[in-house]
Amino acid sequence: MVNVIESELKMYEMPASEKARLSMRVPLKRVIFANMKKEILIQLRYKANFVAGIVQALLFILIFWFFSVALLYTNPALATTEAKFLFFLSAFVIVFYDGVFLYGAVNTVNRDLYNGTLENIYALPSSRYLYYASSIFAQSLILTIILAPFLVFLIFFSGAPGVDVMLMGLVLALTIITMVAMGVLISLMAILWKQVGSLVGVVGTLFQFVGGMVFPIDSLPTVFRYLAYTFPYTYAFDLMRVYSFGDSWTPIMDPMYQWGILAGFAIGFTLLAKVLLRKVEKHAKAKGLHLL
Amino acid sequence: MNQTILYAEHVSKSYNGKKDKVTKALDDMNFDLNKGEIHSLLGPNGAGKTTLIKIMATLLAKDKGTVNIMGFDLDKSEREIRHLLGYVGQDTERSAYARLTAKENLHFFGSMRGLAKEEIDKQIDKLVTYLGFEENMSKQFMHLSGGQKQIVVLMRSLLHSPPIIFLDEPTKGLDPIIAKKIRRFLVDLVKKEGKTLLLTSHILSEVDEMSDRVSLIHKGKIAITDTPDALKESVGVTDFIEIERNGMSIDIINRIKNLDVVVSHVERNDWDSFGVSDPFDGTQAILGILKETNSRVRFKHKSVSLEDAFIHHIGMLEESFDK
Repeated sequence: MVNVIESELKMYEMPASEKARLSMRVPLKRVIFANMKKEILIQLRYKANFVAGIVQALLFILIFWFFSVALLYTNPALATTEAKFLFFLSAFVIVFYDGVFLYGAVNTVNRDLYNGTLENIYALPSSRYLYYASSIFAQSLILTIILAPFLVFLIFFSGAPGVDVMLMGLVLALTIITMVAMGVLISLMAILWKQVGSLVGVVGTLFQFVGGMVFPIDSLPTVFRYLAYTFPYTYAFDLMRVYSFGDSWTPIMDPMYQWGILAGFAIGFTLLAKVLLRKVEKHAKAKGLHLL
Repeated sequence: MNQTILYAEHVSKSYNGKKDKVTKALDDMNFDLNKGEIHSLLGPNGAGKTTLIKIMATLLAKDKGTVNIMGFDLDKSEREIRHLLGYVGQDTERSAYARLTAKENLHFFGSMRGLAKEEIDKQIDKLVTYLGFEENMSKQFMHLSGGQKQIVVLMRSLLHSPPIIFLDEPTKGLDPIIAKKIRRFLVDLVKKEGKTLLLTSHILSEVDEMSDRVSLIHKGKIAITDTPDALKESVGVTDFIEIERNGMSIDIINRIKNLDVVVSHVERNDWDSFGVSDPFDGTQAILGILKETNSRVRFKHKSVSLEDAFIHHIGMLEESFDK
């Protein structure tokens, strides 16, 4: 076989200033805003889903209200209806956002696979971690827009102290950061194995039940109790109980430590997700683009 | 002398299939691209054209070899290379967000490239005016026709005004009018704006019309690189005289085949195609035999096309490969 590339190569020289311009990173702000705008536009184009989301939120709030009233009847000494309601409301918010963190990531990858856009995302010079993270963040923002009016009204109605509400908001924010990274990890699984819906369901259920959303972790069997200490939700729920029930609640450890652990999860998960994303991309590119 | 804007040296890529079956997609391939040229990759399905483009577009990892694009090493400077390239993949029917409009899609991808809104708007205005696409910009991508989708994807690849554009079968499945419009647009990009184009296509008339150079890929190697005219010349004949087989005896066909001016003979459906070294002498000699034998058959003349060159070279390569 003949190989006929005989032209003597005279390589094109690019000016140094141009080279430096090409090395610059795509601004984070631009990636985040572009992605958030895209997510919001797409969500709004599926109007039935959007309306169903609002109805579902209302239903959940009602159910949690009934829970808190029922609990007060069974154990009136523990706390007031307001406190219980506040706790259940905050747990409900985490559960609701949890759907976005866990399924939002998978949905992003699946939608990119369905639209055939994943390959084009990988041809761009911007950060893929930010792409996934901002997709999840955008979906959280849409949920916040749906929930915010109800939450503000209900918190005001419950008469809970402002400081406690703010601290609970902070717990939620830290949990969101941790779970966005978790969402990116799940999106990696979706890239590699495509159908990870059931796996996400298992992770979500474990996080909620073993993490102490329904039952305090002290009431769980020993094995689950130890397992619970490895989940970020455990600390998030416990801190929320601390700020809902005050002195009538015995925390699993000093709340300051719990804040530290929750922050550690947020940083650790973010770093882990970034490293793993690089590894998965390398693997996917070596195997062939059918993976992407 | 032509300036090289991209080169690939000794690039290899294999895919692992089921039961440890390894398929070699690229086998120690060398390739180069000159600044300001339209370079086409030709080859049978599975020859390695798309694999080469995807490796150079940073979408696929090579096993071995070096790729350098405008002074940037592919292994070390993926981000810089992504800034330098425009990429249009094969499946344009599904390569943008279905529920976003054409304009929203372009804005999203432009922002993800780091472009400011004003820059994107300016570039969109320019492209839309040139391509006459104004009225489709507010339609959702899913509601556009195949040709319109192709135009959106093409515009997306040009938003950042890249010096090099890779196009994997840019006119596949398009009607001739839109295909012609896109071809004219691409040629203008090179002539007026000095862009460099690398494209793959199975429409050989398109490749012949547009390309400055053509590389023929066979079994993961560049078998030959040359201008379309030189490739056609290398077939060894200048023209084909084609005669309808119906009503012709084997004896007459053999007499024509044995003429000095006839270099090759191929059966194409109901026609016998004779390659001749001189169109005038060949036509005269063949018509002479038909007249002498009183054969009243349909007769046509055809110049050598790139398709003939492609079939000729692939045939030769297959033969040498089998040996």
